[in-house]
Amino acid sequence: MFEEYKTLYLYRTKQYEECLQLCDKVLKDKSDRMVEFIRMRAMTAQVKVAGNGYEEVDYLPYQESLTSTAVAKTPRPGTSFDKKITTAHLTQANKRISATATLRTGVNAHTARAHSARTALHTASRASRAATAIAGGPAHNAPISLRILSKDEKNFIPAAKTLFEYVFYCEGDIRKAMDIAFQAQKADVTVDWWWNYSLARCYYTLGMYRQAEDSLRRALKQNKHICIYLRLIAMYVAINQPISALDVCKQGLSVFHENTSLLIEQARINEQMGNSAVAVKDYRMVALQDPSNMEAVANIAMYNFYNDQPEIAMRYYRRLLATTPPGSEIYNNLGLCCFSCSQWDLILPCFRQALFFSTDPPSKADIWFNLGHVALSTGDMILARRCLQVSLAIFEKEYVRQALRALDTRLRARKH
Amino acid sequence: MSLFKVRQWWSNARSHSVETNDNIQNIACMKIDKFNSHNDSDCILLSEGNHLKLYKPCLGQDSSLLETELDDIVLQIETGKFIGTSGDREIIILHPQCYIIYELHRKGGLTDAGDQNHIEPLIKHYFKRRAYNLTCGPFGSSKSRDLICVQSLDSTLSFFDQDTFLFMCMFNDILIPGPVSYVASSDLFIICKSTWALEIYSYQQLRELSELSLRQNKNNIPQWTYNAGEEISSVQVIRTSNNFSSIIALGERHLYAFQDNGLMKDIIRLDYTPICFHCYLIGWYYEPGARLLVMVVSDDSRLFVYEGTTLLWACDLMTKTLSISRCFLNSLPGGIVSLGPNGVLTVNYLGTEPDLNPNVNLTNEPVDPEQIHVELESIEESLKQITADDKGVTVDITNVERTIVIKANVGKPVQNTFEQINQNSDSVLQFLQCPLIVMITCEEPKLIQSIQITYICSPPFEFTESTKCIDDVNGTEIIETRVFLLNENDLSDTQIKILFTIVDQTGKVVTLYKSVLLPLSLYCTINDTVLDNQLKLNINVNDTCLDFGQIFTDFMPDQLIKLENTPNTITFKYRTTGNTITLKGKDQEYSIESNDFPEIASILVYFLHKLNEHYMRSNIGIRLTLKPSMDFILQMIHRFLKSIETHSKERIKLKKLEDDLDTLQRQFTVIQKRLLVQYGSLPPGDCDPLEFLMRDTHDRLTRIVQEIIQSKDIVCRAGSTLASIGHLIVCILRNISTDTLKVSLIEEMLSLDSLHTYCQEWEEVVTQSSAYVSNKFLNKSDKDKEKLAPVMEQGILSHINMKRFLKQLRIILERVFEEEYDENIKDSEDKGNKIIRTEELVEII
Repeated sequence: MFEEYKTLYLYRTKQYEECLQLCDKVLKDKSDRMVEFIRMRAMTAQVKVAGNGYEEVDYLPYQESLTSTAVAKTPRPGTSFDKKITTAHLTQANKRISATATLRTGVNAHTARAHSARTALHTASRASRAATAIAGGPAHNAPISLRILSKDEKNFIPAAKTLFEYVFYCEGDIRKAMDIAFQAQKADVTVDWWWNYSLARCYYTLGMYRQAEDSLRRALKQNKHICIYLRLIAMYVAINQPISALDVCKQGLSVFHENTSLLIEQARINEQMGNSAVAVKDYRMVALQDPSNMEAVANIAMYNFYNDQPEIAMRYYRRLLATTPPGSEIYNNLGLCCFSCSQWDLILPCFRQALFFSTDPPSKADIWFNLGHVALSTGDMILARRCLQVSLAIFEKEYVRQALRALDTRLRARKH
Repeated sequence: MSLFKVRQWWSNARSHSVETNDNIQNIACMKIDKFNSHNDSDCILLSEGNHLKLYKPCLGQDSSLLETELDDIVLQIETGKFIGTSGDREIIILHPQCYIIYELHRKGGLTDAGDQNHIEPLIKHYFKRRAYNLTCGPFGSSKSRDLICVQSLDSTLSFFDQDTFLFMCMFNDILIPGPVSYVASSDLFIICKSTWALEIYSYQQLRELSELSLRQNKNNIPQWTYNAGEEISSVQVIRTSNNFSSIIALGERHLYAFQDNGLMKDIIRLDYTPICFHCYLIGWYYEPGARLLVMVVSDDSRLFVYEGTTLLWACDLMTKTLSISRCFLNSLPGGIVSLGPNGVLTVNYLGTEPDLNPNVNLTNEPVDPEQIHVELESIEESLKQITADDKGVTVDITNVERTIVIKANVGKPVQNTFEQINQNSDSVLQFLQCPLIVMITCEEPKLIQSIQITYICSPPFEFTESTKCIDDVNGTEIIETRVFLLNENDLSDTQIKILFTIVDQTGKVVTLYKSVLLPLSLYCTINDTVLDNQLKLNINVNDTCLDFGQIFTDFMPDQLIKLENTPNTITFKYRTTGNTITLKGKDQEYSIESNDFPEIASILVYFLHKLNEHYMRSNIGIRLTLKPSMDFILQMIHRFLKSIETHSKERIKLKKLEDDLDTLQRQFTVIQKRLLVQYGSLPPGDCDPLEFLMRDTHDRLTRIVQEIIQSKDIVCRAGSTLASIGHLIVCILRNISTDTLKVSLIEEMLSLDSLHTYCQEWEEVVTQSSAYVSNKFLNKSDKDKEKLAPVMEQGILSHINMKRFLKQLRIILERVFEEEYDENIKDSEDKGNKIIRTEELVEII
């Protein structure tokens, strides 16, 4: 008889894996409404964590989730999303250092354009992922409540939200989820913003951005919740309307002063539009509110670096190095900062670490390119040439090829 | 993420026994409070299963005050003044079917055994509904003592005073019982519903609700409500000022802070999954400067401390934590108490002095400079190969060549009688067709994407199919095509080149060449011996002459014998021109005799080839010496120049005809236009003269076109003659000269391959190259150069330019042959031999 208590405690302490096992055990012997709901909730929470369901903003680069269709078995640590952002931005830093200012705008323009195409693909992949996440589970876990519970029953309204999230995330059946939402809206006498917000989620997944916008606007009239603002921003970014997105940011910030998530969104949009100076102002505010925000620190560092203040950038990067798990980008950027600050003793160790941690060929090639730059500044043309050759051998990049050509002509000119 | 880690100050891990429960710890079973009997510091009440423990943490000690076993499992521990008689706070313990109120007693020890603590049950009350949690406080502003509210598993609220049941409230919109809290300052209850909303009722309302629930269809509207849109996992209430309390609620990803009147103070969006939180006040609530801080624990066991929305501190908790609280101990004010999943209790403090760069371990292994140098060189080599494109290709060519074996063979000429019947008999030559078979064997067909085979021959030979593409090569491919004679021109080149263009799987293109000699029987027949010939070319061999039957294997031996009149003499007749050529073999000398030069070239090439082949087969080293007389050479050059002249003259004729055609065509269109105007005019004019003109022009047009066709044919024939004599020159030069550069220079200069059926602008090409050769390689004065330079204003084919061109060519050729003869003369002078001849060694091994 204590199993109910145990499931409740496991659920409250968010030990979902154990909780689900216990639920299955309990439900084998008897049917218990509460345990059934707990099981539904636990499953939903697991899938939500695995499928990034808690992130309202999902327009960030998702190469990883696109490539891997594998089911995330264990929930990712809550901060992993942050880490991804920093790396994404840091790699952008790599690109910029290696190219001129013109390339920088080119890169930005490219990302801005690529979004709309990517999101459609991405939402599809996400929906399927949510569905597959639970498909691996035991076959008998079909929600009994869902089949028994009709919309006329009296506890349909309290159960509706649980059911909706279960259907939306675990079953991945958007139509069914929308059906629940409409029924609940009809049955409930009071207006609930959450239903509009959830309908917007459905529309967004189906790629119907206009309807999503309408629903979100309606929800925003009923309750000013931060989730709605974030969804609205994400939606505008998805349909490539950064000005509207910035407008929503401003509205949200007038309600929630100095809210970090809104500030970060505003900064990201500004950054993507090329207003680095405005973006860095927001990033600074974020860093004041939440000094542990890696994305903000990384961006401030990057801004300083490009603003000809490598010493300050280096301090930020050193802080990042102390607080985050080490990665190739951080060492690469540190190496570049050392190089700009003439800290010659640290340049090569930094780049060596960067090479040690780097995994993908493009970033490796970038690191070698930067090393070539360092070698060139020491006057060691042969080493510079070697570095560039290694870079080319790892990954073909046009600017590396150009640099090598320029270096070769220079070497030849010297010989003659 | 942060630099910092909490520092552990005290833990019960040592005395803790794991087997007491199933690794399931109820988070509500921890209570920190101060008791009169231990008034110097806080005590921690902890229960696991049905064990109750009381700790008073002290540095370096176990500090367990009490350990007892209860009858049933413990759901929750709270403290409060439930009886109200004694000054001390009582302990209430919630079991599934009852609650028991205890009092803590301390007995002073008489001996060294120390103090003795025990708890004494005061009130025990049973109820029917199974409980989930309880909340207590001075409900309804009761002054004397605290009342008790128990939430059961089916989420009804039962209210008790000591051991008396007061009333019960039922909610039908709670599926999973959630947290219930009481706000003492304003006498409010916070209930978390399954609609994911917080509802706040006053105590009075709940009392009325209990009565209302008897009467149906009456709604009770809460004081205020907040729709969080996510499940609220825990709620805490803290008094923050004289008038107000703060309600802190933790959702799935948000932390909400309200005032008890429903005003939202803050919302923090967390980007991690929170497990639990604890809020506390620094300073006293009645002081204006009191600060409300919230500690939140994430699922990756990190601790975040917020004030408002600002993050003040973040650190690592080191262990998984399910519940967190603060305690005030004698030697550690403001310690952080954390409860682990299996009942491990730790008291920590926020440490500073971070361990900087804990993850960094530099990879600085010692290195040997010499070894590195060697490695560097090998790397550089491979880098060069990768980056330099052309070098990579040479490797690939050998690869492809290694995998592909190509054999090309020519079969016997076959008379194609079928087509002969079907077609007109005026082109008899075309029916003798010679099959050409190419066999491609590939060891690794995967390496090759496609192969294109192109056959190249010079007129008058033609192919039935000049190109062939093979897309997928598997194993061996056999491709057959047929060669035949197209017209009756002179033969220039009897070699056939086969060009293989191979695309390998990486997309690189590789080309290979093969060349094949056509059989003699395709273009020659054996004729009666013709003995009187004007021209004679001798070939010396340092061996006795072979029987021709061994050389001309294309023909049947009986065929040869049958027609042979004189010993070792044979005469061939060209199928194309009908001219004859006679070969004689005597002692150590062969001689080729004919009336004209064009005939000699192809037979000479064929004969030399066959002779070499024969000796190669029989493995005899032999020296072949070509001995043309100077007279022969001069005649040959003369004939060559003559043929060029004929060719250019024919070309001029052709050019004139083409110009005429152009004029006539223009004339024709003009007449047509006029005629159309006449037709269209009203009334129609007289059209007869114009029509007559048009018909006449048309006749002239057709005539001139026919003439052009004939003229073209003549030009082609002249071109063939030119080419065949050119080939003869090159062949003789190759055989008598030792200077390979000179030979190839002359060969390239004459560029006989550029003569083709539709491309007869040979003079233009050779004028350029001959001018280059004469200027660069022949030491001549500027005057001579000027003399021979073509006149710019006139075309190459003009009389003066042609004259100069021929002169130049003659000079070059004569010089070349003279040089050869001079050398030979020097050699032969020693021997006393005055005959001008040349010697060329062809080593055959």
